[in-house]
Amino acid sequence: MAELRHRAHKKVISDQQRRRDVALDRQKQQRRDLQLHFRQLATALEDQ
Amino acid sequence: VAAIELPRQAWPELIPGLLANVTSSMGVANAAHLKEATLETLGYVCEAISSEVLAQDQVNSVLTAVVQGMNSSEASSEVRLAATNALYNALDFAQTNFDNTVERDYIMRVVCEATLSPDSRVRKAAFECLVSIASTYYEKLAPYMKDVFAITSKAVKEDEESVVLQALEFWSSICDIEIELLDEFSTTGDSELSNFHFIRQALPYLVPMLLETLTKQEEGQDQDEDVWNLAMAGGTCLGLVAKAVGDDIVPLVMPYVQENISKPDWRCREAATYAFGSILEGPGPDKLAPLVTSALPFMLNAMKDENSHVKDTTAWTLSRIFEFLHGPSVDTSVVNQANLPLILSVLLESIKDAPNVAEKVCGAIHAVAVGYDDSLTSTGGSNPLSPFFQNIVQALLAAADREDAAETRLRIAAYETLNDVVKCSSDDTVAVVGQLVPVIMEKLGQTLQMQVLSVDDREKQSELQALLCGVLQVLIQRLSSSEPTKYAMVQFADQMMGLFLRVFACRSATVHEEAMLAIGALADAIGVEFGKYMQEFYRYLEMGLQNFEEYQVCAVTVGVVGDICRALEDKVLPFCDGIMTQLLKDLGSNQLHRSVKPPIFSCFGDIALAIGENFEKYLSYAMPMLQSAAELSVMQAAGDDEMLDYNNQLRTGILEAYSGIFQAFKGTKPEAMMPYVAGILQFIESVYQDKERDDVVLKAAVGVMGDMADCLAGTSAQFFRNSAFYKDFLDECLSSDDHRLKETAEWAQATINRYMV
Repeated sequence: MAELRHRAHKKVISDQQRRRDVALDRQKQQRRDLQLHFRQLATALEDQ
Repeated sequence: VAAIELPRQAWPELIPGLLANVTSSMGVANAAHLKEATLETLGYVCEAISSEVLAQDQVNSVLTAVVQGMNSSEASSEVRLAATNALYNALDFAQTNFDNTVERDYIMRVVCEATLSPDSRVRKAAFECLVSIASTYYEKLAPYMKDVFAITSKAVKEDEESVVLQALEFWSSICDIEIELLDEFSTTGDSELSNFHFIRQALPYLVPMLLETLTKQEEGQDQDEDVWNLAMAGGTCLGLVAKAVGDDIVPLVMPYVQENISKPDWRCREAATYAFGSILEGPGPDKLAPLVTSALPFMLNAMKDENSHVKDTTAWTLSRIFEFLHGPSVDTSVVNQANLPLILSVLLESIKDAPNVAEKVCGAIHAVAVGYDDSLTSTGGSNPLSPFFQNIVQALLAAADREDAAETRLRIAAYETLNDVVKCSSDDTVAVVGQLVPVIMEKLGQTLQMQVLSVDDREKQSELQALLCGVLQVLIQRLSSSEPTKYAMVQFADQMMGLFLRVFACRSATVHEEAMLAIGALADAIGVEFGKYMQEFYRYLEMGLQNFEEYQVCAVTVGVVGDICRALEDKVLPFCDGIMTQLLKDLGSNQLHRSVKPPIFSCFGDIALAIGENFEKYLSYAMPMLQSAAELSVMQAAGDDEMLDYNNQLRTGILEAYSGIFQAFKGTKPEAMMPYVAGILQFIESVYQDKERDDVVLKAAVGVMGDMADCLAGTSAQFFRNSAFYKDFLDECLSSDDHRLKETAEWAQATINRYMV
């Protein structure tokens, strides 16, 4: 039989998970920025 | 044994045999014991197998036996309890029976009757069944809600705490469902289930019942994290009710608040404050702002209350006031230039209070700071918090340093708040942020000198190290966001890296993860300069990639490999054999959590982009992995939401790898990619045909088509000529409302067309 789960009570501060998510989002964004940069560079070189 | 054999149809006589024990045990010696043991067994079997394993006639027989055992005519309490527990486990099997009105009525009647059993264990188990029914069969509940309200209300008035907690959980579960339906409706305009608005209908009766529980606090409840009592369950439910009905709760709760908030009995003052704090999420700011504005001075004053519970709840309420009624998304913030000095002076005084109060005060400071997030509101490099910034930082450091902070959540709260205060800081206070680097480094250095004699000591050391690495990560990011402030951080890079390497030697997953995140931020900040640390750091990087068990460490390390590739570019080459070997092992492992696999594919792209044509030696290993993952993702296209989400992540990872690899060979060795092009285009076509794909996947897919043309130049034309779908795909993306998708599609189209002549 499942014990009654305690719901979050008066919890105020987020924790490590949020910092982890923020870091992973930053990495994703930087990867996409770099790929975009390569593409823009390719276009600029072709245009020359 | 049943869990293994029943799904294989290997033990057909089990269920009939067990049922025979229940139905023909009359006259057998110890009949009640046999019945009880059999019902318990049936419960365990139902818990262990999935609902498709039993045929409907078997489900019917099991339910009949179980419900009979629960009936009020059953003389043995033990049998009734075993039957009620068994029903809890069998509820998932009862879909068809709940569709049938007569059967459903019967099951519901028996469950409701069991809530009135003379045995409190049976009553509690019956309410547990009702909680489960609430979430599993919400749409079937309408005819029974009146009766359920009557029995929950009776329980709240007169039953034992363990039973009442379950009764309240029933209403919290209904709230959960209706909140989810409202969210679904507000985002998609539709929802899977109909919202019956049971909470709104019950509101005038439900709210007084919940308010009644709020004065049933326990002395000392705030000091113990594991406590869960009536007042907490009632207040939590009230908060959920507020989210489910919005404005309508306000007039039902405010008279209670006004009547009780100044009473001499601390229980009344705390209950009134808790009620007020609980309803702050849900009603609109227009409804709440006038009330909160007039209540704010009273609340600030209540931080001097003689009772610690009242102060704890007041600080929590303040944190919710600032969270929901202050900030850029609120038209008229309740925090303004006029009251900010008073608010901060109260908070900075109260942070010296008992640890539980101080923890909630940290929450309030956090909410004030986030409301003034520099990126959203500052003008001229300043924000209203700037004059108080130094004092806030000092108060948080002092709170974290307190002897009693280590024993409670205060230290975590203080450092986490410091992180958010730093993140929200504006340019005029960045000098203070810079001064924090040596302070935090010194604290981290001190943890390495801590005497570790027991497991408890080790845990304390790890917790503190993780928190301090977390703060350093935030400091690195904040300071490296602009060139002038970056210098303040770069001058400490050697020392910081030295500390991180020493911290790795203390083996703890959380610390590894935090130190790894900080190192990723450092590599990102200092770029190619990071190369000098690689020799020493590499072993920890490899260790992180090998950490299958604590998969979050592995995931974070994969991300840091990406950071390092972007920072070092081709200087990462000497380490790539080792990194690629480990990443390929990770992909081939059944032990590693599946969520780490999509980022590993993206990481292939990062590596390729960094080392260019040198990636060729890894192609014969990486491409088959990518291809089989692509095939798997096409085969798994259907599934539940979680599977769908994972599949989109997997496809994004695969496509990001292809993009990086094409870009790597552009202009040097495009021919290396020729054997794979047809397969990649086929995969992109499958992605295009699948209507479940999200925009991120679409963007990545259309980007790969452009990268392919860019890499292969004229040779790409033959592949695009042979593929019928690509023009339609581009057209669909070009007409998208998503600006970035449209932009990528325009670039891809121009690049493809350049070589189609």
